[in-house]
Amino acid sequence: MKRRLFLFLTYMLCFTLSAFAQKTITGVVLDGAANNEPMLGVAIVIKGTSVSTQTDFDGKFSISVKDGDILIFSFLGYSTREVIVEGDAPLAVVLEQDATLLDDIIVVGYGVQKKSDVTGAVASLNKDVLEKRPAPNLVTALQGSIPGLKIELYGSDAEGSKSSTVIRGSNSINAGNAPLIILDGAPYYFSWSELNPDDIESIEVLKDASSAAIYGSRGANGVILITTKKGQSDKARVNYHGYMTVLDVYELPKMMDGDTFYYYKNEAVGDFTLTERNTFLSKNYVDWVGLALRTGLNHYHTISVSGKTKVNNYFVSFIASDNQGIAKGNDFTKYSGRINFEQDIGKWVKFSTNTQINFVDRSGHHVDFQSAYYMNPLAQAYNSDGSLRLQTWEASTDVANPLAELNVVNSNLRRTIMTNNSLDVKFPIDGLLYRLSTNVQFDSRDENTYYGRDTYTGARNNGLLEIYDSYSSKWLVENILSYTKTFGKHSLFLTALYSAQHQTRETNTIEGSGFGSDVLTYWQPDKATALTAKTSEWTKTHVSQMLRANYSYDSRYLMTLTVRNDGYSGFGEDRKYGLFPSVALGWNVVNEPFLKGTKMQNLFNQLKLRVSYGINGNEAIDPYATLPRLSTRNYLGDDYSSEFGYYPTKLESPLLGWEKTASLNVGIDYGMLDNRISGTLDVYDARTSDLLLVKTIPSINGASSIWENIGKTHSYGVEFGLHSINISKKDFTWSTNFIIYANRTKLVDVGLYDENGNPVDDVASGYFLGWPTNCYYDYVFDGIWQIGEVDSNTPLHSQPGYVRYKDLDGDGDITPEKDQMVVGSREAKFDASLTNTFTYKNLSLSVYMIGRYGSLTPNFFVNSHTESYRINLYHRAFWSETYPINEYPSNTRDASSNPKRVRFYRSADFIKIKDVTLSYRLPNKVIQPLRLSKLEVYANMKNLFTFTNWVGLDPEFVGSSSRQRSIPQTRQYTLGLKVSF
Amino acid sequence: MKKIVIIAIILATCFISNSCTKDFLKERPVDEIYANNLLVNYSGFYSMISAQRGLMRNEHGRFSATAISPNSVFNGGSDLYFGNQRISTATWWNWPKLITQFTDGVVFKEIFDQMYTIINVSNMIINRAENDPEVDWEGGSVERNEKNKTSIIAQAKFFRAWAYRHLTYCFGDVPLSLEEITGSNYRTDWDRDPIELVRQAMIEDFQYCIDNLDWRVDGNNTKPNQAIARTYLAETYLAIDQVDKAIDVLKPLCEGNQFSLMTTRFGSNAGNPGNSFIDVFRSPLYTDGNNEVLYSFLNAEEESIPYGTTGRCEVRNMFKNYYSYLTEVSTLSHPDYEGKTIDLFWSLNGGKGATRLAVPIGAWRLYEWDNQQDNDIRYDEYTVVKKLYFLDSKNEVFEILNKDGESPIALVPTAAMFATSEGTIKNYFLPSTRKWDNLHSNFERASTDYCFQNVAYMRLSEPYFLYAEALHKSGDNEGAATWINKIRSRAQVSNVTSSDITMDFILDERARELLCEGQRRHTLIRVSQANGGDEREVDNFFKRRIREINEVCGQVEGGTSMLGTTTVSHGAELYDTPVLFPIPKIFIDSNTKIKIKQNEGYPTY
Repeated sequence: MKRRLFLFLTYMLCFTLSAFAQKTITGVVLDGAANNEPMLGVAIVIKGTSVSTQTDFDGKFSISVKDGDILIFSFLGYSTREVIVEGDAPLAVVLEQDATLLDDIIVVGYGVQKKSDVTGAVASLNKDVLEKRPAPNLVTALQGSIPGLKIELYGSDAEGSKSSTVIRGSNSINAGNAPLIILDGAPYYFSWSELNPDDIESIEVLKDASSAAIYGSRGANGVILITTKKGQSDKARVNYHGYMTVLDVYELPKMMDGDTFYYYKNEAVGDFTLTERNTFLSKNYVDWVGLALRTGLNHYHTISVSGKTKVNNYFVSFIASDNQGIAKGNDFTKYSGRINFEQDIGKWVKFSTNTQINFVDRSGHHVDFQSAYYMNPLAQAYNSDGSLRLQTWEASTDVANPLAELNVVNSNLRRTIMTNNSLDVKFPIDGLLYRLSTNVQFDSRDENTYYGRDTYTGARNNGLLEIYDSYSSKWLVENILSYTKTFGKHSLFLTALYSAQHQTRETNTIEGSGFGSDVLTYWQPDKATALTAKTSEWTKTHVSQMLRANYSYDSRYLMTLTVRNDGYSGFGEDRKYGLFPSVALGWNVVNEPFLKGTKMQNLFNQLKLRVSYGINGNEAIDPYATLPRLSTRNYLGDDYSSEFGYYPTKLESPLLGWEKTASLNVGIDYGMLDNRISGTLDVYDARTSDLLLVKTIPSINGASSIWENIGKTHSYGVEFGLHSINISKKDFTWSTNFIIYANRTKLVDVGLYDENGNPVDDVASGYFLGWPTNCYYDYVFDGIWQIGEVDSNTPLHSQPGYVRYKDLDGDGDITPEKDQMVVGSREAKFDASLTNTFTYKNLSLSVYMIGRYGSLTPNFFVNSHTESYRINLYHRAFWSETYPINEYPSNTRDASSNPKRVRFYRSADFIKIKDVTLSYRLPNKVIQPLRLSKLEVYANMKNLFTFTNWVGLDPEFVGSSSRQRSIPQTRQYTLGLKVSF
Repeated sequence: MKKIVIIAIILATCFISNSCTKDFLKERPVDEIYANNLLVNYSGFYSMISAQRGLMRNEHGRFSATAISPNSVFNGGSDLYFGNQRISTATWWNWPKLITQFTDGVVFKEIFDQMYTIINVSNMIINRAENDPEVDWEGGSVERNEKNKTSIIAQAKFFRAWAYRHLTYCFGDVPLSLEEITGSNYRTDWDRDPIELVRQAMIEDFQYCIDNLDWRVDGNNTKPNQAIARTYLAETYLAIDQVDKAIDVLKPLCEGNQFSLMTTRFGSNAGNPGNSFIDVFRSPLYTDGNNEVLYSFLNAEEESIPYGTTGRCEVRNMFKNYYSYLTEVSTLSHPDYEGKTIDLFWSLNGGKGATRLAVPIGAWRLYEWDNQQDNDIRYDEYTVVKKLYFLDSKNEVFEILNKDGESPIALVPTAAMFATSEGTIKNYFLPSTRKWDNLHSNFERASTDYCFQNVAYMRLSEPYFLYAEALHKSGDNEGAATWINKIRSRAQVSNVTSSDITMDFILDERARELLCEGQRRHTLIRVSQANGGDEREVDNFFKRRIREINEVCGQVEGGTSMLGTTTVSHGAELYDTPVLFPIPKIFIDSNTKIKIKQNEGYPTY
């Protein structure tokens, strides 16, 4: 009401003024990008004066003018329009989104560049993606969004923390392949779940050597740049986004039920314990997985206030998020606040800060699903009086009740502060800028746990407590000098950097056992019968210098030269520094004068060729890796006191230095038919040498492995991205985003050579030339021995129903030396994703699918078991005389029917309808009376359906056996609301 | 343009300047102990010796990759033990010939790795102690300093020779490493050194221990000492057929008065029903009044010792039978112990067993020699499980009986023992030793795999048997009988005469006395290799005794068993069946500069 009054008075004032000397003109400003909806907050200035006004909720304005005045209409992200005042008729001004403005400026590290000037393989995340795929964890939305950025989500805990991120394949064998993540200019070390998706303005992925070279040392695995939001409009804007998600289990592995288990155990083992016998007789079977599951529920609320004035800019946000996963006891709560603020101090200096404070609560132990899948279905969860049984049946192993984890008292809190503060100083020399940028991060983790007598562990120790604190602090200081100059058709952009970085972590652990009572839980270390404490520390430091020159001629010919010199404390004394140069060239073909007016130019509105070459480093080894450490083996004194014992188990590696990757990238950026079709195509070839390799050595040396810089890998691949607007009608649009990429990584040399000097496999370390590192070396499954096939010439212990192994050398015996080979690799041959978005008026539907092809993985669920039916098994087929199959061997107690323990390799290919979002933006005429500028509701569904031949859990959950036995995949239903005013 | 040049120069200067970063990048770990800051004084050296003692105790610990112990591998598949669980990593425990499939077996790799870890620790200790004049030996006087130093060196040498002892009996020729190895001089060109060379180094190390260590170190039998060193030195002399030297080495130990067999009840078990023999195992420390045990491992209940210090081993789990799987036991219930009947059962029967290794009926029958089975305290119900107990509803103890009213434990041959397929043998009715019984105070841990009490590692019987063997080989059967009779007297069985003494008799008596102790495979390999013998020979002590005593491992095609004709060969009659373990494949693969020769009988590349 107040506001209206104010506006009214303003109108009146204008009126009064104009009545005297001038006329008043009225009009409306419409949004050309949103079906000509009225636009709020468009700035209108009379050119050459300071007279200005703004549009109101209805997009209307009125201003007093003279004939011949020029009105300037401007709004961020839209092309500015100038209109000459003629006559008195109301104006209707349509503002169009400025394609160049929106797309053009991208973050390239230590600065920004126009996209058309970029020479490297830099992919920008379409911001819509974050909007279209709401998820508490950013990484979920990133999956499948950028060619070459491979994200594997291999679990479904409440936090969404089970993921791996790799750019362009795994070049390094032991030194880690995770890309460097830069948040607002500083390395980000926390988990994806601790970022707030609603705070993020843009994400850029630097894939080739040239663009990543500015982060030389750590750029070998690619770089992900994340930039948080700034204030955008002069008017303070408040945004709210909230949603609620219900999670349900998507698919469970088909474990044996009680009857089936009894039948097969009886066949193979024959022995049963009291509980097993009683359960079988009463048929009172326990559904362990069912007991471990619940319906999950997530809440997410974020609110932000942002705006700007002539001298400052602010964005302040707060988020509260609470996730309850489908595993009982699996909770994740996060509160986080952010302040982004910029202030001009006088004419020459600008101060800015990006500060985030997080509070994360991971308290509680959840039911362990591996033991829920495997718990004996003939065991019992509860005693007859209803109390929890700690030992579910009579055995010494595989009896701990998985539900007893819920009795563990656990508090797990994490508090983090990340703050970037910088000063930008302009010099009197035009184009010369100095930036002093600092980053400070502090985080603490406090985890206290108590296993009371109502837990399996606690009962065995008369109570057990663990108190764990860890503190880490990091600082980074960067001095950046940059110079921008345009003269004639030449433009130059120079950047120099000098930086120092320091990271340190300290952890304190207290463990105690033997308590008189459980009442005080972990608040009683002073009452422990036996207590130990441990403190540890590490520090790592970096020093870096970087020079970059960007040059362009007439926006046609582009060049980038970069060199970075990096020092890392973790390497050997004389190997700490590495020098990483790169060069990149670009050619904007469509800007060539000779194409003017040709068909070619009509067809392409963008066509750029890029080529880059450079060397990057990888340092992903822990501090002190080069030093010879001692292991601990404490013994007892005659009085049963602890006698501390140390012994050497690790050799020093004094010559350890940088792993280097030299890569060549050739790419095309294209936009056709007025950008109806656009995208990129990149081809690359990367050769990594001086691998940071853990080499297996004879244990006679006192250690069975050592870090060395040996060996080479070779990666190459192709990445293709296509965005097309298939239909663009007044009320209806259909657009498609398609991504496909393929990467091949091969080991070329692992430091071993034959007599002729040719590289050979390192069988001891499991490194095989021509294969990626995660390949499988095993005996070869060759079906099942059938009745009548076994005679005295068949290898030892061939029996009908037993696994038949391929006798590779044909010597009649199956030996580890001669009958094993590489049977395949988990690396996918192709990864692809497809997003279709349909918009009808204010309604929008987005369907996102991903797929993987060519991945072979052992399926641990169908493995031959070795546990004598102490654990439950996946209900797969068994060979028998009456059911002589060729896929799986007969039912035996301890995998005797698979004496070589060959694993069962299965294709983990899939196509998945991952994410569907239906959103509706209420029309302005509905929301304006509510004083809102935006009101959107949406429904989202995740993991709709998976097409795959893989059995067990989700085919994305492949890799280690624990991944294949984790919390099952969830189907998620979300309802959300976005409001702005 | 000029301006650009100037600016470029400024930028480049920033880049080149490399001010005092060297110190900034230096690593200074503050929380870790390194050899260089540990081995500066006696306490530092002592802590490495402590670690060595812990590593040695691991002979009764669990491998990281499979639930058996190194000690069980030093015994399984000999004449006295077969695998009573189908441990997939040790199928040769039932089928000696299957050992050829295990060149990549995890147990052989881990034994190899563990022994060389110990050897490397010793090499580092010896090298630094001998060559670093800066070490503070904390003795306070020149003489005490020298004594501290030689004591450390002697103990390190003991562990080194002890590890080579295992290596030579397991693998035959092995690389001999006596120097400290660093990241700059590690090798991938090792070769197997002749066993004679390795044994010569062992002899020197054990001799150094004898010259520099007391009978008991620090007043107890928990550290390397002269007594155990003499025993191993004598055994090594016997292995190279130097009988006289073995006699000389053993004489002071056997004929001296430092040690004696315990013939009367003593220690913590003295008040319980039992005998003096089983008391030796219940209270193995010299400070407990035990005069018989040469070397004992220390253990303790884990709730009472600091975290991070292990005080446990798994020796009972290896040898005690899995009685809770007997039908008579698994059907028991008790209203007060719902879901905990297994804990109740084991707490009443000396702790849980898992019979990784079972003693064949043929070996139990060795006690019947001279009809002494009813007198032998090594075979009575306090030393051997012959009865099982449980609580009735009035909480009174009763004996568990089968449907015929007899103890379910008996020496009954079953078809499973002679099964031709690779199926599991589950002879849970066989007797088993009570030497490692555990009466743990924590009821919740009654069914634990671990045992937390001190464990006798070597008893005086061992040097007595070696002394008897040496005297026998030197032609003095009279002398041999004397020492055998000392052992038999304590067991309360009849004396033997010189005419009874043969190598087989000594091996039989060893079985009766040392059942579920020591390393039977080592002993059989040693006596089979004597005088240039080939350990793979089909009629040597190793293979012949398996066929004679071990009804599971010893099956031959067309042979006879307790149940009739056996049809399948388990390999103990075949020359092709290896007796030594395979050189671990990973060692052959990783030793890239020299091609290591595999032991005979195993597949090679």
